[in-house]
Amino acid sequence: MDQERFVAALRGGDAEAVRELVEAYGNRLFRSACLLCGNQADAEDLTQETLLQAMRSVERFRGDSNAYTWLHGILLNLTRRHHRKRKWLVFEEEAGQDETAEQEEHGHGVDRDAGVVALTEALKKISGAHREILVLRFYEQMKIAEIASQLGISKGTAKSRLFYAVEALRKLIPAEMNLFGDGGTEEKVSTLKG
Amino acid sequence: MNTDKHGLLATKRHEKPQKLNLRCREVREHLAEWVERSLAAQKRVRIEEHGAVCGECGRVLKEAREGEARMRGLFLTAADSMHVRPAFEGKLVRALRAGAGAASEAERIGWFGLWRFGFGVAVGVIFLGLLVWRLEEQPGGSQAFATSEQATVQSPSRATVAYVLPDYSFREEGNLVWDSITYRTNVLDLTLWAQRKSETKKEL
Repeated sequence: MDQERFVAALRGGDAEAVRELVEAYGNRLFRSACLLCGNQADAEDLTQETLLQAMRSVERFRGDSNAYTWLHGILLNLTRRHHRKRKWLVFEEEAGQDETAEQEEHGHGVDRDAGVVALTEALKKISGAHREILVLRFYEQMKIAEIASQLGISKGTAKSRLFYAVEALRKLIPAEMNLFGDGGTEEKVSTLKG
Repeated sequence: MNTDKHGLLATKRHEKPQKLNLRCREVREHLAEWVERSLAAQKRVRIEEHGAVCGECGRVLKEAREGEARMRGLFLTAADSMHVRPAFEGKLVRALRAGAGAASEAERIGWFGLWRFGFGVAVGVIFLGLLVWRLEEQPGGSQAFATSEQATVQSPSRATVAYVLPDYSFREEGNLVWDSITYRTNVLDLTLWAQRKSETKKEL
């Protein structure tokens, strides 16, 4: 979707452009939101709010980053706000229960392999900053310079944060999955074996 | 990837990190950029040549690239497994259209124009306040409000603000509308104006 069409869609005057916008970015934003917030119902709300927020602030889109990156920046801000709001609730437990119930309802719980389940569970347990950088790097496939720009940090900080985020994830992913070459932590292995 | 963020080999926590030579350190430092293939050609070649002769660095490079590919694969698989409700896209389209309606309503009301116009009114009020204040400061100014006749008798050269009449008007020029508000007093008239697009005016 080119930038003119993107701006036209956000201005709302062109119904066809709005539909194209949703087709081009809706699902991708939703999946990213799922990884960031760990809950599909909240991810839907965040995706919708991202696009509405983009519509309200379209005048600020200068076109120096691509449209999706700009939208994803809005999503990151909304996700942070979402986590702050839910801080006083027992987020992990509640979200985990919601998600399990939802997946079972849709019959998708059984399709997801162990690696995916381990990853989504691990993402719920690590810090928001680590989760963000992992999603940007491995799902959005951004380069270090792009991550630094998106998060407003230096390249050195981005590399350092990514390193610690991978380490945090490595400790939570079972060693048998061999995701990191030399496996996960001994504690995790012993927990699984025990 | 058994290196820390400073490029030191840290095999286990209780072991003291092994010192690396400069070339090994460069490999660790630029590992992320090497994996994403964003390094300048000269630096990339230097790192790969070193990786070919240094067993530890060769292993680190290989593991980094494989680890990156595995992680990307896992994240993509996890994201693809997220269930997107069939009605979700339709819901988004409806929400955006409703959002666009709300945005155009705000535009129709012309909040920006109203704010600007309100600012003009405020400036005018402040100006008139200052004018009255200055006149009162002048000798005999405080008596000037008694009656305009007395003021004229005491000091014909001094002005007195006896009344203020705001007067709004607008005129169209092509696709532009000029809003103006004039404060008419017995001393002087102050006119403030603002410009906006005519389609907003027509809808108003």
